[in-house]
Amino acid sequence: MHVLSITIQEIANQLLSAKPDPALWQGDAARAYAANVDALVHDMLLLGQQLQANS
Amino acid sequence: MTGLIAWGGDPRIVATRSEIERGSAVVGLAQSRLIGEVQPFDFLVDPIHRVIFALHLPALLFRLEQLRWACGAAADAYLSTEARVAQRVHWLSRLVAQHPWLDIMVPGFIVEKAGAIALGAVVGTQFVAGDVSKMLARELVDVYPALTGITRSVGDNSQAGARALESQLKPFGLLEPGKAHLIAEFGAGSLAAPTSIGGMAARLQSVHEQNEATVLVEKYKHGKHRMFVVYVPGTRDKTALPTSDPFDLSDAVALLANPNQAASQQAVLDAMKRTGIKSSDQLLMVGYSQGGTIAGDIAQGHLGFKASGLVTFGAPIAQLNLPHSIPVLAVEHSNDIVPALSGSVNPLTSNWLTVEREVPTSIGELNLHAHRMSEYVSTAGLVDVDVNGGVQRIREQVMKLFHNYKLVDSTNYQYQR
Repeated sequence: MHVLSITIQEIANQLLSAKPDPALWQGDAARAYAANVDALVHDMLLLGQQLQANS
Repeated sequence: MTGLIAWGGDPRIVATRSEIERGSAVVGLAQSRLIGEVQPFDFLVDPIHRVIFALHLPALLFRLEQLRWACGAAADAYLSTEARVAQRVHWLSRLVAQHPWLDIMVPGFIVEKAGAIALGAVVGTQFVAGDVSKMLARELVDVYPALTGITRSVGDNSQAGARALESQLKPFGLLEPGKAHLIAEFGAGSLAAPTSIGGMAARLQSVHEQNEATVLVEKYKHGKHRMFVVYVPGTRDKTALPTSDPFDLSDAVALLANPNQAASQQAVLDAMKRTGIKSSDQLLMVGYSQGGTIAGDIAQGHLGFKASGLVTFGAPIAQLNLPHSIPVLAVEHSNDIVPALSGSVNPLTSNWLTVEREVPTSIGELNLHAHRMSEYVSTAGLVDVDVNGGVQRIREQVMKLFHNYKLVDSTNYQYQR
């Protein structure tokens, strides 16, 4: 189970790179999108921690 | 209301399709990896944790899908209808680029014919109405090199298209660029700086319509500071056979394929050197059609000049890597296929403004009518009165370059090949 939690954390960290480069995409939509990516990454990291704690 | 469609030039909104697509691809990858973690065998090994994960998974996938949807919606909202549709039909060029075995499987003569058909289709776009002609031309230019098998295009590659065209037509003595030489140099008689984008376009039109290929260089002074404005004409002779005019069709293709070999670019660089323009001088490049591409190429900064601004009319410049620090104003007509020869769409950045207008054409009239400089002079007049934030900002930045400067000299340089 340890592997699954690490995999989820890995995927979450990888997802962080989906945030826009401000030089190439910025504005209200980009900010909203980045905030949603952050929130999702946060929840995925929490899930990973939860799985790790239960193992 | 001016009827202009404008994008770019607004520092609050910057978007490039490639960046939005990159974000979407990363999200898609996360989706695939999460789905890959749900394997029946894993449930046998550690059922409780896998069940916890499986319970969370639908919500995670839904949120990821929402992110991808947001990327798609953003791209659609930012980039014009034309760009959206062009992007959708990019599948063909990508298919060839990503599956090179297609080149091996399909007999060469069929590929060559496909290339010729694509070329004919670019000409055929002349008879298609409205935005669609430009969109089709852009896609055909993009897919042409891949079809000919000479080089593989992965999109946005006007250079590959032009090189493919050159290599196919050169054996027949067509599209030979040649060398330009100066035949005359005389005062242009301009008395003052242009006061508007429309004035600039009118000046460029008179340069373009000279009897011989002419480059106009204006010299301005403010104390010790110097500024130069270079006006570059467009393609003047549209036959495929090389002519004595360095701004003919051969050079238009050569310019996209190998800019350094184009006689037209040699002529412009020669005029600029004769005027004594230095990299420390302020420099505004203004060009129409082929001349806009030359102006843009010089504005990239790799030829020893440092541009302070770029204004183009009906020119393919999307393929250029222009500095983010200078104002760029690209005036295009939505039914003019020439800007589409870039094989790409102008980016949406804070310094680069693109304005478009559809030129009304009569039934049976070629779309090349929309490429006329006289039509661009009219559009430039609309740019001067447009109230769009990005238009105002870039227009002011361009006109501000003239602030405090006085015109001290204006010279026409005429060239033949």
